[in-house]
Amino acid sequence: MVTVLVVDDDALVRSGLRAILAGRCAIDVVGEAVDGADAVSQARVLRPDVVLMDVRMPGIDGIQATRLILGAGPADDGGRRTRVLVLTTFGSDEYVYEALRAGAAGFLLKRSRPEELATAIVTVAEGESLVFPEAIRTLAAAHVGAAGRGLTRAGLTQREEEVLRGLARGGNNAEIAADLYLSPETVKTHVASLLAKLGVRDRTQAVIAAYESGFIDPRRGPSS
Amino acid sequence: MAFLALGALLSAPYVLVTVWAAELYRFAAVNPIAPVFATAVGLGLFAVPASLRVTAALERTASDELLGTRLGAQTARAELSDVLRAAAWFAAHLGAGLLFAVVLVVLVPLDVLLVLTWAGIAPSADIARAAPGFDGPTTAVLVLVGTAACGTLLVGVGTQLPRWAVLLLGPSTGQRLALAERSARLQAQRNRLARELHDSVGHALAVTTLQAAAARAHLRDDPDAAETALEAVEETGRRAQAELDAALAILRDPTPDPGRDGSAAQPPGLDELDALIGSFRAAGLAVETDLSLNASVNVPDVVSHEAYRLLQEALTNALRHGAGHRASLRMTADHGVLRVHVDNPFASQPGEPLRGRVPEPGRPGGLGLIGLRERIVLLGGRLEAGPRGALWAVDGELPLGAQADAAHEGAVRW
Repeated sequence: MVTVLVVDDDALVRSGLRAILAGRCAIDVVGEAVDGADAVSQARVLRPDVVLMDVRMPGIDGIQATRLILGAGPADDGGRRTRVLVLTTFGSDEYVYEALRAGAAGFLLKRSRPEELATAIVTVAEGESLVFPEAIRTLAAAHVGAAGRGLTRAGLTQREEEVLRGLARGGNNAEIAADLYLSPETVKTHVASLLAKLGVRDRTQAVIAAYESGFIDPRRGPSS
Repeated sequence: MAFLALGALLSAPYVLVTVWAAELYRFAAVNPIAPVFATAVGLGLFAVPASLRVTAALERTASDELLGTRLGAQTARAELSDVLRAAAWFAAHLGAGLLFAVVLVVLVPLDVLLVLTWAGIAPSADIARAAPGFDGPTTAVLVLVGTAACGTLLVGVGTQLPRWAVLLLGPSTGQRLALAERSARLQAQRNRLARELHDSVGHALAVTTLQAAAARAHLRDDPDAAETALEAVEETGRRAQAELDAALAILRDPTPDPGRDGSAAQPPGLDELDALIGSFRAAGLAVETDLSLNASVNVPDVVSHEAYRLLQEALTNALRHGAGHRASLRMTADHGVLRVHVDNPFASQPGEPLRGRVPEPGRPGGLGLIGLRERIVLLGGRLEAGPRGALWAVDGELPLGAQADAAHEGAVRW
């Protein structure tokens, strides 16, 4: 069961999300927060697997709330940690990218179908693959060069670079393993090692760094 | 080439007038009024067509068609300086055309004849007949050198013509300032509209979609919940329609309504600097100021607006991306230049979260600086932003010199 905290300043959005998610057996909505400050304090108490976070809110907005929630400590519940999934009206929103850089694991449009919403929540909770890799690629295309060329100096091995491309394509450990003729366990090791070398907290951040540094050209995609 | 040929054609009547005037000068001894008359008529024949609006319009079209400029039609009411510039351009066009005609019709055939004579193909009597006095070797060399000089001059003038066209037929500094001001205002209005649609209709559609999905999920197992959700859909749809009406009214209305929103009226300028700094301080940014701006310095409106936008953008970026929640601001005006400098420490370590929010934050990532830079360059200034040691610095220079031109702004209609 994936526990979810719903954060939005509009009561209708919260009730709509709750109603959509209530019928799903894999998901349990454990709380609702009305703004960023409320989200931070509730996340601290409820320790949900996933925070569904609105970006634009009065007071502390979704970007700042994401930073605060993720900064509270990476593994304060026996290795389990809260992940943030950003909810937005428009995919081209600059604030969404800010939230991703602040550490959100992915983003989702409010107009997504209920099934997509549920799948994205479960995917984020598992933490193995990117949510909507194409959308992240499109967003990143506007920010090439933002991180400089640091990634080329990170000293990734060739295997790690291949795994990083696999992550950018949205693959999970098993899929990347099948592509590269490796075992899923080996892929997991490579991922852990490349995250450490890049100094990022999760796979989404690693892919964003790959795009921003130009290591992968977001205009052409990870397969190039 | 075609533009020069056109100039040659236009200059033909003026050559005749000049020849006629020169004849009149020869009667100066007999009739002292003749030279004065000749000069007056000659100048008049030049000045009248040169100062006509229709001539300027024709020249503008000719330049766009034949020189590849993009001047378009003149949209502002012409000032005296515009008329003089257009007349200068007309004269330049005629002069270049005349030069073209002289090279093509006189010098080149003469050269050909000279060469043929030397080669022994044409009898030397021809050159003596065609150009009496040009048959000696010295003058022949002079003719060749003259052709080369005129040809070079013609090529030089030809390549410079498009630039001169922009200078003489394009908008003046005052008009460009007004254009920049207008486009900035339109941009602000468009941004406001986009924001309004995003916040109202975009959000309403998201809510409608969500609530419809919720109603579908509970249609059978919880009809009451489904009914509540459908009510929300109906209400939200109704409200969104009203908001869309309001947004479309802004689009339909060609004149910005100052009553509805301040940003559609006069954009804010440096006189509202204190309020701007205050709002950033309230948002948690410690702003240190060094404003040695003399009250007697007359800052043109358009410069004042751009300086305000620059400060707003730089401080917004300092608040969003900077470290340590502080920024320092320096503004000076000397030698006719307004210098604006903002710097802030920038985070190499993950920045602490920021408290509060600015009333009207610019777009993050410094994207707002791009449009700002374009407008400042248009004003003859420059804008630079980048790291300087441990600081992120934004430096802007805006010339105050355009004051006289900017005063014309009111007379310019668009």
